[in-house]
Amino acid sequence: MNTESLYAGLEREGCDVKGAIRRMLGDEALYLHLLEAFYQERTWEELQKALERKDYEAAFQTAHLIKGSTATLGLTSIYEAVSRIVEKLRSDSLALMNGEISMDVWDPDFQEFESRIRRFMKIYESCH
Amino acid sequence: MEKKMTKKGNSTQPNCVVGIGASAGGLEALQQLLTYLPSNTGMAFVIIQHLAPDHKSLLSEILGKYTVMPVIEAANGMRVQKNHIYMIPPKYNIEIESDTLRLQEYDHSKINHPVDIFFRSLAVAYENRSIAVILSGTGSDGTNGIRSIKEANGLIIVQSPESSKFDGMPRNAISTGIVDMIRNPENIAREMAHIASSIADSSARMQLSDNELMSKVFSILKQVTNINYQYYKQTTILRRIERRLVVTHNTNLREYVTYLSKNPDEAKVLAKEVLIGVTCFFRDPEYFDTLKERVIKELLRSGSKSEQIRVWVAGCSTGEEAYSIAILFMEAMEELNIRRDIKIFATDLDGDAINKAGRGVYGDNIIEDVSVSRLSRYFTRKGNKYVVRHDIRTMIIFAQHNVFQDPPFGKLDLISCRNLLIYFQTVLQRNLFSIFHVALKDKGYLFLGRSESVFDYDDVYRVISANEKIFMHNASGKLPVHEKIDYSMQTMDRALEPVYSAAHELNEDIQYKPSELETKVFEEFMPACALIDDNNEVWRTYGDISLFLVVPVGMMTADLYSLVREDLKIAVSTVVRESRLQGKKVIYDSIPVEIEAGHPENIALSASPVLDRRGERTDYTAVVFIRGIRNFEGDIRQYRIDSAASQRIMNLENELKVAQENLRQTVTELESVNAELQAANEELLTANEELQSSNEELQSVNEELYTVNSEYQIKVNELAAVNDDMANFLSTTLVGILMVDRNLNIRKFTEYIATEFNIVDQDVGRSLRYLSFNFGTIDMIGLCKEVLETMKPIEKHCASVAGKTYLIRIAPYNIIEKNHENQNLDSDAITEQKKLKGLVLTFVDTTKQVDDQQQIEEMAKALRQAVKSSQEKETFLSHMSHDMRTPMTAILGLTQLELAKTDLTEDTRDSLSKIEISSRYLMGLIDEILETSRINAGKVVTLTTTVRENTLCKDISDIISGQAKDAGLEFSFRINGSQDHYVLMDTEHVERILLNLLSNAMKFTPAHGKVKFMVDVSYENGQSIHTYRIADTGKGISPGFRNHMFLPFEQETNGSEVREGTGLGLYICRSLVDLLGGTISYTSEVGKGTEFVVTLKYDLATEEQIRLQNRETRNYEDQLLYGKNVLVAEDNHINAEVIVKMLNTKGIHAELVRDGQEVIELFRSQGPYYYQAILMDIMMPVKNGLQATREIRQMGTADSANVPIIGLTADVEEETEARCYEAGMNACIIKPIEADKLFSALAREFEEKSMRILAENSFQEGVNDL
Repeated sequence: MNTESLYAGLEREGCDVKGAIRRMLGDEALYLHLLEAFYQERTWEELQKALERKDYEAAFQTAHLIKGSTATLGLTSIYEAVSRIVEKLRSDSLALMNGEISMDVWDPDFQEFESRIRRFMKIYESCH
Repeated sequence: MEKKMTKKGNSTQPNCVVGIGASAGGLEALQQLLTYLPSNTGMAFVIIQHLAPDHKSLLSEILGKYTVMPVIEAANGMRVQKNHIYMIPPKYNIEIESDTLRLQEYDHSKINHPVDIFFRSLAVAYENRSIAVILSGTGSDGTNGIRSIKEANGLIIVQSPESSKFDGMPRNAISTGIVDMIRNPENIAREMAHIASSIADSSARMQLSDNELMSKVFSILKQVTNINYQYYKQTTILRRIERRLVVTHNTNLREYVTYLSKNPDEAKVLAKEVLIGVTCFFRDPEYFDTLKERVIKELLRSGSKSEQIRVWVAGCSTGEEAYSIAILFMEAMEELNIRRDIKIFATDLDGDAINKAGRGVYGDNIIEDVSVSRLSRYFTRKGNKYVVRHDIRTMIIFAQHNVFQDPPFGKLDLISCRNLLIYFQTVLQRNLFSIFHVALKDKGYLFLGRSESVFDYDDVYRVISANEKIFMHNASGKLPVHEKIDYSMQTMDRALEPVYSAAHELNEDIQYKPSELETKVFEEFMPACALIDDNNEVWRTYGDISLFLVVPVGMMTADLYSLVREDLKIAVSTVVRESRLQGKKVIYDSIPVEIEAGHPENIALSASPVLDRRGERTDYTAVVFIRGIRNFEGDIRQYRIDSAASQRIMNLENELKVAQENLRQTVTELESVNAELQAANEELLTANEELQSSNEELQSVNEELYTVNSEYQIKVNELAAVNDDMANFLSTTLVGILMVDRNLNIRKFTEYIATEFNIVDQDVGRSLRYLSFNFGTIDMIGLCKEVLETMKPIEKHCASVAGKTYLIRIAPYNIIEKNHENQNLDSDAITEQKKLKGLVLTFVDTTKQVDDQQQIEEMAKALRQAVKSSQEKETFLSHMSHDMRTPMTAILGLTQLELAKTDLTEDTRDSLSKIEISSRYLMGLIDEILETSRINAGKVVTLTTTVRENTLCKDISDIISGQAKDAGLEFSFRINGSQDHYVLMDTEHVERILLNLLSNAMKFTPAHGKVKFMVDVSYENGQSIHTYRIADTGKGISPGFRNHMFLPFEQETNGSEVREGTGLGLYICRSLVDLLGGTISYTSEVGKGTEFVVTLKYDLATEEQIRLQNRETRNYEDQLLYGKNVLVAEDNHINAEVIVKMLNTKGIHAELVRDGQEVIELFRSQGPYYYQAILMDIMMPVKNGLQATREIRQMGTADSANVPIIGLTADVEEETEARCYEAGMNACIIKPIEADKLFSALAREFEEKSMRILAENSFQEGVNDL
């Protein structure tokens, strides 16, 4: 793992790696461990599936989960994108459930989220 | 030799084994020997002592005291180790086999020679590394054994007879002539040390031998002894020299040669050593049996009866071999019933040996070699010696003879040459065989020793019996050619008489001596004449004497009357007598003789003394027989036998016949008496034999008794020493001891009791009843009887009339006997039975103890009372103070309330202020009294905390410097030598002490004075030692006050001056210093100032304590957090891990759950107060955080209502936070969680919670108080 280029790549994306490590009381190994866990779990795929089957409850849960993780890991770019999804799902939950409005993978916020995820994966994998 | 060198490598193996034989008187010799014997000789010692068979030997125990070497009683199969001493056990014979000891029980019915037995085995096992030592003892044990040792080239040392208590064994051994050293035991030990070192480097020494030195040795030997040893076997000579090196204390051959050249005696000894023949009777008995059967009997049978059988024993040494052969011949002759003339020539080079052999006297040790039947037939016993019988002795001719230099004997039937060849080199051996070739007859026999052979002479010497080394000589055989040694005649001791042989004469011209011719002429013409001496023996005859003198039948004799004709006997005797009587020539004429049968004639007889040249008479008388024409001058008498004379002769002859008859009768009688005497003598001999054997038995018993006796002697000495110890102990101990028997008669008492009770030596044996004891209070006799009955000791305290007090103890005196009688099948077959013999009374003077005891009791009583009153006082004080404190609190509180009011008049305010000041003073007073009472009651305990040692002093100086400034005093403070370590300090009490002393200093120092506070710090043994000095320039302490300044309630008063304070300050100070294990002292000078010095020691804190302390004090927040249990509910595991990690860094124990339901369940199941807080994520599956919080709050357990619950949310809206509080949470933290925020939130919650609990508790207490 080339941590230096990883950190540099993430920071170019606008991530706050240093802040995250500071929050983990300087435990860099813990940070890398959690980052690997986040990468491996691929929660975003669950979010995509939930959206595809229009299970907004699950989608909200998952999005919220990703939001918490990315906040902790300082993946600011993803956090910002997923926050918008969370808010959209939360505020429009009743309407969504009632079928008044729809939220799907083609939603621009989700598209943005996906592209940021892909960029993260690319950076992460390139440094692996 | 090489082989032995390698053996030496073994560490425990002895380099040589010393056998020590001893008997009566040996113990003493052994003690001396062992005392001086070094313990590191590397030798093993085996002691063979004649021991009583049924008596347990204490010998090893006794001898063990004289040496540091282990003394071990030998056991069968035991291996000998160097520097060890082995003792023969009783009843056994001991032998050694390589390095193992073998034991064998011996036969008591026979006379036993254990020393001989051991020495023989030692010689076989250790050869030239064997050493035999013979110490004091009677008999001849060891004498045969040392022969074996000698043969193996071992060393023999004998105790000098003068130093021996019993010199039998040493003398017998010395008589063999083969003993190397004769020393006293002390010197034997010294020699041992020397031998040990010599043996160690003997091989090195022998390598030094070179030919030059050896030839020197030979030349010295030749000078001294006339014997050329050059062709003797070098190894034999070297071995002997090696031995002599040890004995003469020379370290190498060169030294020895020098020594040899200076000491001719040593040369003689060496020569003798080389020659030394170890021989004995019938050595190799089976060889001699064969010799007898195949050679001797053959010789006796063959050849004519009159022919002499000639035997040569070459190298006969001390004659045993020669006598053995003579005995064999004698036996064989008896068996075959043949009588032959036997001549045995026995020769040896050694004159001493020949002398000894010639005497034919041998010690009683020969009984081992000679069978009893031979002993009785061929030896005569004289004392403890055996003498060879005359008929055997006469068969042998002993002569000193050198086989190589002196001409050999000839025409021999048998040559016995045993163990002689082995001394010679091959050259000499060949010479010897050629000499034998000349000396032996054809078909003569040669008898050699066990290890000898004729090698390449089988043509000359045919084997008869190969095993027994018997060969037959073949005179026609040819000897191989070899170089011969020149016989050196010059070396003969004595000049040979010139011998004139016939051949010699023939070579000369014929020269007759005149006397010879004269004699011839005279004889031709002289009448028959005989020259006789005074004994009538014929010396010489002249002329034709054969007519008158006749050789008689029977024994040959020179007696004239026996030789002369019968009819001339009377006439001759008459004329000789007449001539001698008259001293002149006497002639008798007309003596009728019938010389030729039938022709009687008259002859004349003349006898005249022969005179020498000077006309003196000689012993000789000439008797002349004259026939025919006579023409005599001088005294001529007519010889006529008249009838009267004839008659007389007749009568005389008759008388003679009667006398002869009588004589014959007498002789017959004498013979019969003689026969009787012979028989009586035989009986006496038998009786003597028996006496002899019983004497021997007595001797051995005596020896055993002697050994036992000396052992007992040693035991007695030990007992005497112990007795002395006991007596000294008893006389010096200050305890009176009185021993009485069963009838209370005094047996023994100590000196101490004698001085106290007036007992004198004469009282021993008197009854206790008649002694007056000064004890009025007890019945001594009664008590004694009681103890005798009960067998139980009694102790009594008793005061004597003299005012002294005694502890009297009466105990039974028992004799412990082991009872072997009740040998039932009971478990205790052997019981110990105590037998009461009397009583022991001990008197201990307890006067002083009793007095002391009384004093102690009184003092204890006083002490108890004092303590009790003191306690009462303390209780009173404490109660009083407490009771006073409560109203005082009220007064002070109310006064302060009143003072707080604004509407007060100036007077009132002034009064109230004074009340407040007084009250505060009174409160302080009460507090001090309370403190004092707590200190006295031991209720004050020290409590140490880990602090930096300088901190407290700095804090105090800060406080004091402010106060000093206010009081107008100069204050200085410094710390010396401190390294500001962490120490364990009771800060509260130290502060109290120092503040007290400092405020005192300020109090008693007038304005503008100085107060100094100095702290000296040093370190020692893990402790920091603080010396605090508080000095002022005050008025000082008056001498009168100094004595009681540290007592409570004491205050220095100065006339009317009244000081505030209780007078408890210094008292408390000192109490606290004592409590902390420190010291306090002071120096003071009135008017100049006072200095207090307090010394306290603090342990340095350990790393662990410092770390703990740091954690405690680093942060109040951390302190609150540390060790708490927190439940974390978070479904996002990434976040959860981060939270747990954060909590762990503060020592918080975190438990993690995934949803709200789990939180509820776990919180309930763990019970009340298990978790100090819950971190609750809001957004969770199954049951969200808000719902869970509500349910917990309503759970109704002890802590469910107030356990801190902190919400975690990623939502930043205020609405979310409000919902959290609404649900019952105490706080809410926004994600991502910052550690600081989390910790401060938790700390806040914990603090609030503890305050809340305190508040509740105090509320509760308040309720209770009401």
